Amino acid sequence: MVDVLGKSVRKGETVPLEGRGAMTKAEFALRSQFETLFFPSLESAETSKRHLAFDRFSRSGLPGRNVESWCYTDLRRAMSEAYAPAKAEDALAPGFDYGPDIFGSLPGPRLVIVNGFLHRDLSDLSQWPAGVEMSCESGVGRTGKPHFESGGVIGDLNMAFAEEELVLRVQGGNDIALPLHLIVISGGERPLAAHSRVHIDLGDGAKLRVIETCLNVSAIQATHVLDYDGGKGAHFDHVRLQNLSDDAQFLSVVKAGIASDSHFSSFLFAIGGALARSETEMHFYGENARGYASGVALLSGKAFCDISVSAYHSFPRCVSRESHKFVLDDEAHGVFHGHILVHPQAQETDGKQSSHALLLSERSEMNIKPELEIYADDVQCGHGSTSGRLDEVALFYLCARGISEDDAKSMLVLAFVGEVLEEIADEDVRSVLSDYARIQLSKAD
Amino acid sequence: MQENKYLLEIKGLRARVKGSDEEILKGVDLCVPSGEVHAIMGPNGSGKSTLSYVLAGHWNYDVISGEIYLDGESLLGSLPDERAAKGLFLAFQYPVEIPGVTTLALLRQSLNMQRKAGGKAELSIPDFKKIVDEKSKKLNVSGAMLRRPVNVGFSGGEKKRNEIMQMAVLEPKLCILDETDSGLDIDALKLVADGVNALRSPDRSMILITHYQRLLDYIVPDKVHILSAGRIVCNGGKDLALDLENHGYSGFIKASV
Ligand SMILES: Nc1ncnc2c1ncn2[C@@H]1O[C@H](COP(=O)(O)OP(=O)(O)OP(=O)(O)O)[C@@H](O)[C@H]1O
Ligand SMILES: [Mg+2]
Repeated sequence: MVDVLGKSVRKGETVPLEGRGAMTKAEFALRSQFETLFFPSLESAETSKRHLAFDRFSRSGLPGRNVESWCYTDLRRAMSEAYAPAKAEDALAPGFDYGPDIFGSLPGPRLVIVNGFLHRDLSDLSQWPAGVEMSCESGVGRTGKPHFESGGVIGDLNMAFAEEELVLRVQGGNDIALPLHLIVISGGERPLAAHSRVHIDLGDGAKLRVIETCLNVSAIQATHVLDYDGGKGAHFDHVRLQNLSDDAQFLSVVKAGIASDSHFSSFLFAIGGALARSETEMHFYGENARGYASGVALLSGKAFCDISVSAYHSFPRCVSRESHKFVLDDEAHGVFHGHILVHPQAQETDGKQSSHALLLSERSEMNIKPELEIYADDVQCGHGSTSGRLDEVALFYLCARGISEDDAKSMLVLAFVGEVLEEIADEDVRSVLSDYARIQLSKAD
Repeated sequence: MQENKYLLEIKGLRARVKGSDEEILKGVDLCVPSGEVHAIMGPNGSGKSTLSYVLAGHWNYDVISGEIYLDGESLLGSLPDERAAKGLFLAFQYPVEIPGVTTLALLRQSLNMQRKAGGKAELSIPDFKKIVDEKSKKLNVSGAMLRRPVNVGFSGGEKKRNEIMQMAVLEPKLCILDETDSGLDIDALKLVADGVNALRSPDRSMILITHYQRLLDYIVPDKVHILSAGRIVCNGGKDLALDLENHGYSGFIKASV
């Protein structure tokens, strides 16, 4: 740690040390990176928002175990240094091979984001559906809804550093049949930091599916924010495959504003990562809305994956469902935070949460932290969680039926995750992901 | 290679639960010739299920000494799935529920593994369906049951029928039925008995573990053995079961000591 004690802080800046100890080397580096990149222009609303975000970050610092929502995920310790931010020259060459497109069998245009910037050469817009507008904006200026402003440390870092926001807009009433594929790549020739942001805006009654693949091609420290704002009666389904290597620190937030009578779902299929933190916030902005956040994490080696989900109920008669399954092998570590907040006026809220972990090795670890904060009286809310080992009795039964131990194990693990994969409404996507799970699990043997 | 007169030959089998000092099987000797059906009866806790698990290769038990031959080939040291591939089938006393794995998926995998071990190609789906349809009809196992996760939510009797249906599909050389009759109503008992009898053949042997003479009225055994405190203490014909029913175990067990 470097104790700067205000020495490097410029004139007029607050010294960001309140109640959180001295600045770490990484925080110090982030500060000087931010200053180098964004200090010159202070005038526009955009830059001031950037500065406010960085200011907030500076005050809180990198969260460590003393921060409740990060109590199992010590980012402060894990981020021992801050990689230099990606620059224009880090952009991947046209035709760069970032590996197979797992969803290759599914139709729809591909938008490839590399280190926060839309990469037009790698993208394929040939099947672009009518009714979807796409633009790249610098936009950090969105205000007026709570979820635009939230996002915690990840949101702040992203707001401070991300230079481009990919915006997808569907006008009211449009039902987009083809899924849009987002491929979010971080990394390059060297370890680097990358910050990407996507904003999705659906008009009243519009319908859209987004299939996202997040991956890294080198050591990375990345933040990725997906902001969703849906109109009344809108229908949005999001599936993310997050496939990270063991030198990736990937911090992401999905923030959803869910209007009345609308449907929002987000499914995460997470593999790997030195430190992956995936936050999903569902903010209900009207009655009779439904929000689903579910996922599967298949972790081995020293992978660490934190899935944090919150549902904020401020209107009556909304439904939120969160179910997650973790499969942990070797020294993998899974964390689940589930937070349901029901305000007094949100009567007849139906909020349920479950998280289950299968520990395949003695050295794997799972932490689960449910939080139900309920201020309305007529609600149905609950949390269920389990954490256990493979059922030996079932395993023997399968072996006694002639199935090898390895095959029997993967059958049982697939059965375990299969239940959550059922949450994916789109059958084609579901079958791609269950095949992919099968491949991943047989690789582990 | 052993001489092939016995399909199953167990000699001086001693076994204990892994990590414990207590012997459960204390020297079991049992020979079952090809084509014969043998019943094993014995008091609760005498080691009947343990014997069936040890035969099937359960990793929770250690064999201390003794030998097991199936069709002249030693089973000791082979894994449970290898034993299944060699033609051993255990119908469990307590069939387990396996959420997320359907009976159809399990059977398909089992059958294909068995065929692979025998150097045969995988069955096509229509061929597989045909076999399963036929066998499941006979045992009154519905298509809906086949498509449900293995034994999940099944009644006790349905679980037992499901076991025998799997056995009928897999056509093993050696069938071990651990209390398959317990928990069956009279109609189901007949159904299961018919299913088992249909499988009787000169090159297939069966071990019926049971507490009740009634099963043996339907599946008439060639021999009856009494297992007590980890040993076979009495061997006899089918009438032995009747004697047991009338007099209880005490006479037989004392007589043997
Ligand atoms: N895994 C185990 N751990 C501890 N003890 C065991 C285990 N398996 C069997 N035993 C003990 O071994 C003895 C024999 O049990 P087993 O289940 O083989 O009896 P059984 O003859 O099948 O009885 P039942 O007629 O009640 O089915 C019992 O005392 C039982 O408690
Ligand atoms: Mg028993």
